[in-house]
Amino acid sequence: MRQLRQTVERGREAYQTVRYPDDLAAQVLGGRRSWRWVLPMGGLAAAAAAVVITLWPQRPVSTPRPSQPIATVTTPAHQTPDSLLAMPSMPQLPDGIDLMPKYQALSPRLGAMNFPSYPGFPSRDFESVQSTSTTREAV
Amino acid sequence: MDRTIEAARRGERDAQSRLLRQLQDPWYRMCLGLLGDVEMAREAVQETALRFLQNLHKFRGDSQLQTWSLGIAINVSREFRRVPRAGGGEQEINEPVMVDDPAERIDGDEQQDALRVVLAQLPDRQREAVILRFFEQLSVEESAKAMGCATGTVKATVHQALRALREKLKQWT
Repeated sequence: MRQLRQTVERGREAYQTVRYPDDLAAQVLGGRRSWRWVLPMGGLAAAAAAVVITLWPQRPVSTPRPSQPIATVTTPAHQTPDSLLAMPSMPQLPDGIDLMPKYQALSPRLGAMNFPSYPGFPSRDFESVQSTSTTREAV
Repeated sequence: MDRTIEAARRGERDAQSRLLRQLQDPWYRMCLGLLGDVEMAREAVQETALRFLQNLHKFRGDSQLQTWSLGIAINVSREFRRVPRAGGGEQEINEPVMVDDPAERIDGDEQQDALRVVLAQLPDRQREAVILRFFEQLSVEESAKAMGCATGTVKATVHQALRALREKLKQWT
């Protein structure tokens, strides 16, 4: 036990002699700005970004001018530029065909809407029925 | 000290520099003791410094600033041990733990060499507890705060570490 204590004690003395070999503050804070400057710099950056975003749509659209001359394309002799750009004609429908049916075709004509008469139903008056049968028996 | 902390919290660079210069050696000793590699310890110290400055506003003064910041160094070292480093594979701690520079070693001290090797063989938590309690000479309560555990855990861990050290040093001799 005593030997262990002595060993640990001497180990502590050796441990305490160890020093950091560099300047930690210079290493860590060397490229580090003070926090005081962070907020103002951040505010300025935000304001600049806002100005850029505000002004961006108002910039005139300019087409880039090529620095090199554009190579010309020669077309064959039998093709004129107009024929190259001409669109084919739209397909034509033959005459006499309506795209939409006329309104008369959707509904029958008024004269053709004749409904048959309502069917007759027997009367539910029992007295008249009984009187009729009595008359027949009497006959 | 409190004024320096307040000034550093406000972002005053001189105050931050003073704090870093005051804490860089304890951080480096801790990281080197836990990682056993000079380059990794340097990287861990720089990462510790960045996190220290980022989290300084969370320091409530319940413990010493050095104790609180050693907790950051321990967490960073734990992360460095978990993450595979460039060169492949998990980090194996087989370097001398306390003093890695051969020029700084105690020449001819076989016991110290034995202690370095045996400490490196301890589980991570036991090594943390031994360094905090016996090398940094923190109290059990301060060690618990730095390790982020209960005081009872620190006591039990130190007890296990001392028993393991005793057994391994016997085998060494």
